[in-house]
Amino acid sequence: MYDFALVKYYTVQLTGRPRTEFADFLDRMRSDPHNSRDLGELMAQIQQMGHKYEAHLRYFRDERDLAHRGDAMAIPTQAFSRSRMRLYCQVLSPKVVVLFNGDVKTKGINAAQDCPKVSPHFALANRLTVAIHQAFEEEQLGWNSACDALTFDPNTPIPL
Amino acid sequence: MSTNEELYQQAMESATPDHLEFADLRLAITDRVYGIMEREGINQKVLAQRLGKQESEVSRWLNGLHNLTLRNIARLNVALGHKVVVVPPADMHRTFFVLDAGTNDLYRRGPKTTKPVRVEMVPEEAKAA
Repeated sequence: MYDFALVKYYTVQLTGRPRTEFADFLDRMRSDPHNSRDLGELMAQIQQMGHKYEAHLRYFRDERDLAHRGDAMAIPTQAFSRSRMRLYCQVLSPKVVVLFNGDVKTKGINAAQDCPKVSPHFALANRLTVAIHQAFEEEQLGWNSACDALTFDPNTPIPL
Repeated sequence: MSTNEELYQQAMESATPDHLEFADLRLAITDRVYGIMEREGINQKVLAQRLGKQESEVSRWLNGLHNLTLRNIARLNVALGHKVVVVPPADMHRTFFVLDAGTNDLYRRGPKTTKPVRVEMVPEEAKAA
């Protein structure tokens, strides 16, 4: 999807959906002008990690759903202040990140699970991380020789 | 309806130079803080104790989600024992260097200084001269 010098970003498309999860996120976020700053900062962070820093876990917000063994993270926006935009993702290595979906968390709600807007995306992201790990175990997903890109058959869906 | 690729491209272009600079600064400061902590053997718990804060609050600072004000950066400097952000002197862009012929020491001389200030780091090319 995005192929930078230091990081490759992938996304997923659920069977029967017209768009990838990340494209759906972008389409919904850009429809509200209030999101433009957060979205711009989020995209800037994606670019800077890709060009200059790599995708180290210390840059991400921990959004793991331990109850379901998911290991989703989120890219923080509006750094150094409280941000409510959440883009869930999976950091497979400093070179490879899978971007999922997200939304703007409702003000005053702490846990993602309690927010009607982000909770479906939080839950799906964590389910997807489990499915992706499973796909590695079953060799539906693999690494290229340099371990900086995923190998997979784009015509074979990964069970969720 | 925009295609996936069109949406990706448009989103990428939505990052302004200000956004890019902000992200760059955030990632650089995160690396700097974690680098100092690793070098000094300070974990999040110890840092929280030194700051007199809850570990969860320090965690938010380190994840770039808390309001990291100048005051908090100053607190971090003290707690870590190193400066997280270094600001160059105001006249640094006009500073030039002088090599003392007698001692072969390198001095920095700025337009506002009346006396040369000895520079600790001597570049190799100056030593060779």
